[in-house]
Amino acid sequence: MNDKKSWRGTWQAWLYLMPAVMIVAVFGLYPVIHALDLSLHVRYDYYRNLVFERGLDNYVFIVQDPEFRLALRNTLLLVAVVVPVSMAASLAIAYFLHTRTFLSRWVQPAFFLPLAASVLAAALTWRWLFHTEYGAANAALTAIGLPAVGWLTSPEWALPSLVLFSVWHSLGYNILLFLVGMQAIPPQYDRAARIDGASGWQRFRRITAPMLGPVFYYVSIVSVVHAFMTFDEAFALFGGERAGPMDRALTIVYYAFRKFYSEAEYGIASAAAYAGFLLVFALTLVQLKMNDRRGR
Amino acid sequence: MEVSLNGLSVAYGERTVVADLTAAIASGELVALLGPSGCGKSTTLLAVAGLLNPSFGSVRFDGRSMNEVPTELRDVGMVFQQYSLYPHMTVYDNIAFPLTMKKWPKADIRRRVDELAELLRIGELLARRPDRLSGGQQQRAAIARALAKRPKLLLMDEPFSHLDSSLRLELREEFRFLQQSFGITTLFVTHDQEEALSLSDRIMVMADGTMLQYDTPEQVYHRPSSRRAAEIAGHPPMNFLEVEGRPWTLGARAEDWLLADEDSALVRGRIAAIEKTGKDTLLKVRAPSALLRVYASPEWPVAVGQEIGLRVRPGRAHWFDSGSGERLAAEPERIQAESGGGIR
Repeated sequence: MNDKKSWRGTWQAWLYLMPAVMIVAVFGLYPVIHALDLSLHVRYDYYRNLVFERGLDNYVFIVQDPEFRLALRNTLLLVAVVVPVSMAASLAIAYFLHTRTFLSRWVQPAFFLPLAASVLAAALTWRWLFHTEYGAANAALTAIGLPAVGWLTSPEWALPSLVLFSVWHSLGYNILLFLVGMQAIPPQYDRAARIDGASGWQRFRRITAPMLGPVFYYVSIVSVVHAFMTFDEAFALFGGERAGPMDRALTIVYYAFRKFYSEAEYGIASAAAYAGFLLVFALTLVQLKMNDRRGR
Repeated sequence: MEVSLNGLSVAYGERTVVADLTAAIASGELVALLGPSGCGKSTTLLAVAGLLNPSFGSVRFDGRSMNEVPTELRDVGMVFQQYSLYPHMTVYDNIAFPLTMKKWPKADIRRRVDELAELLRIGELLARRPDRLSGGQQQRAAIARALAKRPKLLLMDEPFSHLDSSLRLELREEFRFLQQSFGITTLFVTHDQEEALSLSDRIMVMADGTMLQYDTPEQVYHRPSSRRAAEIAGHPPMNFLEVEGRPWTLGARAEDWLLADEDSALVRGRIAAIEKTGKDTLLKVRAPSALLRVYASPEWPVAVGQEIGLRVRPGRAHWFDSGSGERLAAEPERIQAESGGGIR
């Protein structure tokens, strides 16, 4: 190929890239910039697109707003709990499905169900499972002698319930990725490791897991971003009016959603969304850096 | 360690790939599994390693059935066709891996790895990843890894087939030396008859999942048990001629022919082509019923299109039953006399 840089070549390259660049600009870049602008509107008329004053007031407001602080705390908790739990569980399940091929033909669809089901449909089922009086979760608890729990009705259980549901909901996708990753590893390495006397656990730890590196990295980034953006799970699980009893399962995106649609606080909603975006961005950069260091 | 196969059969679902193999391999022997691709030789190796389970019969190590013993506990070393060095580990870690699994102390591992690296001349490559090695270097590293734990049995699947020919010869010799100095029982799979004949103590000739012959290279070459076995071992392939009026097939290797006059000629034919391969001259002779491949002595006056008479060097004719392909037990000389000139 022609590796020399030239004005002509550069111009041509841009021409070819134009359609993709247009799409990214209109649907990716413009909203991001517009949201940033909107988050700086202090006095404005949203409907006539008039801005009388710009400033950082919205950011000052959310930092001082106890509701936003609760949302931020909940969101960070979700990331810190859901991501590792879901990844560990899906890795274990994927390995199980991968190594027991006979069984997995029959069991696999059950694990991929969360992937195919819509959040709303799934949440409906979980609302039934979590029902305080008639739910299967409480039936199971009382059966082993533990007290019943107000999964969706008591403030202190709202967030744990959301964590459980989020973990379950993210399993299907993660299992699928890990399973595909494992199946892409040529079987000869596992054979060689068995010859070399490695037990099942040693083969997983020394051969399968390291060779899954890129998949692991991808899943961790996607999971963090997804957990950070948790909204639809909470919305569907608690019925859409409040984020759980006393708003105890409020998340950043839920907060932004409510400010925007229910309270018409467009500037504050944008500021909250932007703060969330910056946090995810920072987290992803940290992950990228960590992966860089590991790869070297 | 002695290894024996006792009626070993392996099936993939309905399809039997290896049927009823019975053979004993003495301690310290180097045995080649020779046969065309798809004949079940690699499958046999995997069954001995325990990576495949036999559908019938058993593999025994020193008389003990291995059917219930998983690969991890069989204490075998194996060199795979694609070498299968762990790509995420350095050469050092690859060779050390079997010892790490045995929880050897670090210092002992280092000593053993260094010793093997020196033996196989890969000392300066230990810090590299496998993808930074040439084929020959990968092969040496794979052999070092297989030998690291001093296994009782070494298995190799087409270990030299990916190498270019000069490297192949060099590594073969080195390997033979290593194998003998370690005294390690070795089974290796090859489709290269020359490799099997030159390297091994005994050859197991296989075709279509069954064993045709299990004998020393000399016997396999000079007394093939059947027409099929004769075809597999030896190059160029053995020539076959049908005996007129009898259910016999005469076989003679390319180097076992003599020039003959009118009276003594067993067969006459016209030279269709002359191939000079270095020191040898290979003739393709168009006889009435077959195209014969014959090595010519330097003093033969040969030219394309010329008609020549040929007879088989005394004692070098092989006789097979035309129906079953089995080797005939009767003395060749007598049959030769009986058959007279009745060769087609």
